[in-house]
Amino acid sequence: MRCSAVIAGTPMEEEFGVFFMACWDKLVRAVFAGTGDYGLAEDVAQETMMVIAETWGKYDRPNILMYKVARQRLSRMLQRQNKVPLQLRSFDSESADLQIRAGRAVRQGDSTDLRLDLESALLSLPVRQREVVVLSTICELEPSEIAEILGIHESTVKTHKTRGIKRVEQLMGNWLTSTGSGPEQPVGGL
Amino acid sequence: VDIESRIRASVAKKIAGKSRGTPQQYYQEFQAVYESRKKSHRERVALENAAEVADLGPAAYALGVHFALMGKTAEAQQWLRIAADRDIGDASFRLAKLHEGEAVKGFNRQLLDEGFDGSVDAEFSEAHYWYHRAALSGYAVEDYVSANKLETPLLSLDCCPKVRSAASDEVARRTISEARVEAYEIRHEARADVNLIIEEARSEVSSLAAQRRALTDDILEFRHVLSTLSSIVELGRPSLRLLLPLLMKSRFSRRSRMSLEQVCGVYSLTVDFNRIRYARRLESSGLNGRQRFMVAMRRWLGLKSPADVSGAAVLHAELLPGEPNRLPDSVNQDESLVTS
Repeated sequence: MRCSAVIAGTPMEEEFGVFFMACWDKLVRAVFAGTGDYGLAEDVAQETMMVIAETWGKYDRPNILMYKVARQRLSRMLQRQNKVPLQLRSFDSESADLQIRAGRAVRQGDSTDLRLDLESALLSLPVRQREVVVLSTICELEPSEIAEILGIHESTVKTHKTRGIKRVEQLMGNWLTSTGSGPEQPVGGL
Repeated sequence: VDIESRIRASVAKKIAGKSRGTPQQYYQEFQAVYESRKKSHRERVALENAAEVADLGPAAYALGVHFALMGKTAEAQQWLRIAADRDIGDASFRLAKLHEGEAVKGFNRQLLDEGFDGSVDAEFSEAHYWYHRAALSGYAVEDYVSANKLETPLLSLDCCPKVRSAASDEVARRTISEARVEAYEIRHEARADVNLIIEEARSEVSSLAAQRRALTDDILEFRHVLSTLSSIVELGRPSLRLLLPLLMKSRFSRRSRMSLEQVCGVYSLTVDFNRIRYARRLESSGLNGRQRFMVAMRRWLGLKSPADVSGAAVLHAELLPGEPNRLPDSVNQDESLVTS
């Protein structure tokens, strides 16, 4: 009831309203997981939805277009903010820093820091691996859809995903081993 | 709980703490902002352009791969650069490989020409730059600076099946088109050759037919001549006197007539050489043509008797119709003139 009251308008507007409700959270989560900046994620999501609203009805698969536009908008915003791409940081130093923070969190029993470390592990991935992992795990897209969004082959998507997940697991496994906890235990209270 | 679920739950929990409201509230807020921006034509055009630009990267990459597979390097570089500028990592890597290839080709070319300019270095620099861009897109993690490890990509560079299929179709279409052109040219040449051969054969056949016709005519005429000669021969030597009038009256061709005249001449030579001398004397006698003819007729044909003379008169009337027949006297007079 509340939803239909909010998205009243022409049929096209209603359709877009339903789409907005369904995709907003996913989009914000995806951008947030890729950047770690919630404010930026909201801005990118809003800009993206503007584009989708303006072109609503012109494209067959607006959900695919949405992620493409989001990537482009995010890239432009990062350029404007003059942010250094995450993958330019040394992976070794990132990994070491992550393990130190994770170890500290376990010793202190801080579940927030554990989540932060999981996200940090995600952010430490190379851009393409991170994009694939985010689009597959958080947005729950099929490899074919991800391949279309990123403009790469489907097998490449699978390889990226496998390597990305393996690297995150490796980071978290190293941390669990170093802190003496078993890999079966839930991390960060999840 | 697997790592994917952990990531999902972690992000969801993190967002839940930072969210300013429900999706409905965000939608209302969005609508307000969108309505205000929609009023500006410029804003609307910018939003539409953003959608097109977002689709441009993969499309340009597909085009670039297509041109690269077709061997059109310049076009491939142009479209791959557009795609690479839009963060298509595969495009960056392919572009780097293309520049590297061009640099190597340029180096080899200039090595043979014994002269180097800056174009090779520029190509290598471009290749190096795009290798870096490819590295930033995830093609190499450990050592993207040295670019040594980037020469062999970590991941498959296969283009998507649709592009490969389209390129294959395009190649097939070009091959078919070229084959058609070649087939047309071969057919055209073959037709020209066949036409030439037919023309030559026709002309040869017509020439042979003409020869055959001529030979048939000759055979027929020779038969006729032979039958005439045989009929004359059967009559005996005196009948050869009739040869000349027969000859003159005949419908023989000029050639046959000449042949028969030769026969006649030979006959004259062999039979009566004196008559020839007489004829020469006759020519120098000052007689006119008719008189010479009559004397010759009398002499050559042996018209000695009055009957012969009358026969000659008949012959004269037949051969020279309309002429007054004063032959006996004339002949006698002419004979006396010649003899004298």
